[in-house]
Amino acid sequence: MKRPEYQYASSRAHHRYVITPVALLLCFLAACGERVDKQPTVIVDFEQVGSVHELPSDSSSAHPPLRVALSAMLSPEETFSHYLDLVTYISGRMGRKVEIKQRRSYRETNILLEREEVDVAFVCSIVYADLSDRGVVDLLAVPVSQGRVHYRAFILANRSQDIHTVADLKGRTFAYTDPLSFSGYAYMQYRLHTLSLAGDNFFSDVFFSHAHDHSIRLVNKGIVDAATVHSLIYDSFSAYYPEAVKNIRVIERSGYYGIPPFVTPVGTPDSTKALLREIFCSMHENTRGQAILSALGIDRFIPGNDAEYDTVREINRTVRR
Amino acid sequence: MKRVAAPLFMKVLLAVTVVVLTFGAINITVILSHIRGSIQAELDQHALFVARSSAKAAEHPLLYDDFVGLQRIVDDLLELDSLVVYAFIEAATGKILAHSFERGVPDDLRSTAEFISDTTLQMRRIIPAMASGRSILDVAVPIIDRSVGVMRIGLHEDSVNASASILLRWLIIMISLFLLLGITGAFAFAHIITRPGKAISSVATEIARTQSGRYTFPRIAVNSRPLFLQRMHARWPDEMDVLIEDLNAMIERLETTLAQLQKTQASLLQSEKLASIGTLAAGIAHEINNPLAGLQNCVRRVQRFPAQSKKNEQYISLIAGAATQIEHVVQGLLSFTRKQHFELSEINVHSLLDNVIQFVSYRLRSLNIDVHLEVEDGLPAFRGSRNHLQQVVLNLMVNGIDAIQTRAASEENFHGELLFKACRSGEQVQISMRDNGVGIPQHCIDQVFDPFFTTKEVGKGTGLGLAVSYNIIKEHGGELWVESEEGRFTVFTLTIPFSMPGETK
Repeated sequence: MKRPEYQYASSRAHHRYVITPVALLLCFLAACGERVDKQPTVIVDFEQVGSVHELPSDSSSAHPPLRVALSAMLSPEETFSHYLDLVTYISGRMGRKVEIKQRRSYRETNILLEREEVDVAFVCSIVYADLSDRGVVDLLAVPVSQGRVHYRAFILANRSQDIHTVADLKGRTFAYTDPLSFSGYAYMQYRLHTLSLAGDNFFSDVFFSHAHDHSIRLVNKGIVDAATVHSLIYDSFSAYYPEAVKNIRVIERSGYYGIPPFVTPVGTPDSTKALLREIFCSMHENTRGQAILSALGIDRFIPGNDAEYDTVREINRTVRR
Repeated sequence: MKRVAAPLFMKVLLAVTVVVLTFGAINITVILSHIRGSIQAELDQHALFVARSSAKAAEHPLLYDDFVGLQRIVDDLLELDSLVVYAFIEAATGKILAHSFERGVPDDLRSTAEFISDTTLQMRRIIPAMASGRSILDVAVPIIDRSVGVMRIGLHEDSVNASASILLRWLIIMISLFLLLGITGAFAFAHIITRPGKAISSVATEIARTQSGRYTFPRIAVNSRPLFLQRMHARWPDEMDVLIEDLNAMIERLETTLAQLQKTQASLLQSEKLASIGTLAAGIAHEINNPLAGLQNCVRRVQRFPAQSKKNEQYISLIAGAATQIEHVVQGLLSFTRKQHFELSEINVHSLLDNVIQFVSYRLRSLNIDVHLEVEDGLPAFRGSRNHLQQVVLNLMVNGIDAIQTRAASEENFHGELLFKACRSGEQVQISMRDNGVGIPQHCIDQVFDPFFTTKEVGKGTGLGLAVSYNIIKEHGGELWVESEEGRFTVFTLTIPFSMPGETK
């Protein structure tokens, strides 16, 4: 039987009502489904190698970069971030690029100085005492901190341990900084010597952390029982990061010794030395320099006096004997 | 009746399939894009983490100028993370401090001044220029500061696509399962839903196709459902259950009504018969009167001249003839009125027509109507109820005679004619009767078979004759129809199968 035409028409109309929203929905979903690429896309030819060269290095230009060695008193990244502004400032004043060189141990820094592979170095007091005695370096500038050109060694112990004197350290684990550090090694050796405690088996175990901040962390966490560190670094830790020293007891504070200075190899031209010394010692006279110094906890730089390091030399001799 | 072109079952199935497919498509689109995004984000996070931790690890070696340590970091990266394609460390001066390439760092990767000029770390997508190149995520992370150095690593990105395609495969499997389940469910659902509909439809079709004369109908089965469904439906009947119950009640009423109708029709048939007899009475009286008058005459002659034995013998044979004639009339009348059951017998068209013509011969003669019979030679007998068919022919003749009488009353020199034609038409016998009476007005022709429809004056016709005749022919499995032109003629034609299908009653 033939169906009336209007039925087809109405069924077509119904289809339209159904199809339209479905189609719209699918379009919407397709639009949603489109992956949005956040990253830009580039095409890279992995076969093409070797035609790009380094950026023109300063070594090829008229002014070779000023090479500054920083002893690892702090961990290298801390040292870097602390001294970057200072080094950049000096670079700006001299109109020369500056290259920072850091080495894992003081000995490696010493080698750089001995071979004159650096122009300026920030070294430990005892390193200066030793190298100046051997005629390797000259004193360049000495920082004045808290009004003094001196610092101390602090002997730290974890609070949970029953350690109150140096004698209590017997049989404990102990962290030194570097065998060539004054506050981080020589002073402790000196104390043990004066107390007649020096011997191979005084500590149960000994570590070299290669940075004062590492030593502080190790004691705070109780991984080692005790350590000896740079007083100014400890003070700045306790001032800025009280949490980092909350488990630490300072069991002994040493007397005052000459502060770690900036030195130059003896071979450095006098004019360079004079310029550098002038830059260092006048930093506190301008706001930019002042800001950098105060961030480092330094009042200013002074030319310094070699005699300030005689006590260090004394202890060095005692310890080496 | 309308054929089912798109069964309900198919429609439900189609609807479910469309729903499942739409649902599946939406799922695939949404979930895939979502998960693709998360995988991408995770890869980005991973890349950042790897680059940052490597950069962190590279700080000391870089500051200490420890190139062995830097190369070790690069080597370890490639060894430990299978996603890492390459890694290299570039100093701020552009010097390559460590790298993982066999020949050297590609120039395109190094000429990334704008890429690494930003102080924050950056990511970008790299597509290797070679044909088999797989997309790489290139990450640059500063080591301490960009003025010191940059850690660069590249990670395979196609892991995202691989994960997404695995996911897509699972989704498609799931959706196929859904589709399968959906279609199976739709089958079951559609079956349950449409079953009552089908039952109703089949019963309705059967009722619609049932031949008139049958007055018992099948009921719609309500208990054809599984047992638990029966119980459920008994407790919570739905619209279908109510509908089935109502329809069954209607079928029952239909049956009762039809049975009553049948009874009514039977009694109507009887009334019509009586009415016909009434119509015939005058003719019959005359039919009997004539021989009776002759008979009386003969009796009187015999009484007056008992001795005229020769003449009386003649009279007595006339008396016997008249008595026989009367007997014939009475017998015919008896045979017409007595048999009321639908008894099938072999009927010869000629004898059927002769019999009926005899009933009305008086009217035919008195109205001077000529009757012609044209019966095909060798027309076989057919099966039917003689009694009922006589009534049909009689009804038709009475109608025809009435029409001729009406026309004769208004027309001078009109000569009435009735023409019977009987012939074979396929498996049926076809009998037609043509009268040249007044005819039937065009607007009445569709109603002539309706009960109680009559154009005759009140008291003359019951309006049942043709309706009853129509039913009788229908019950013989035949047809009855009329053609007429007003003022000229009317032809009634009936067909009856030689053998009745499903001989009942």
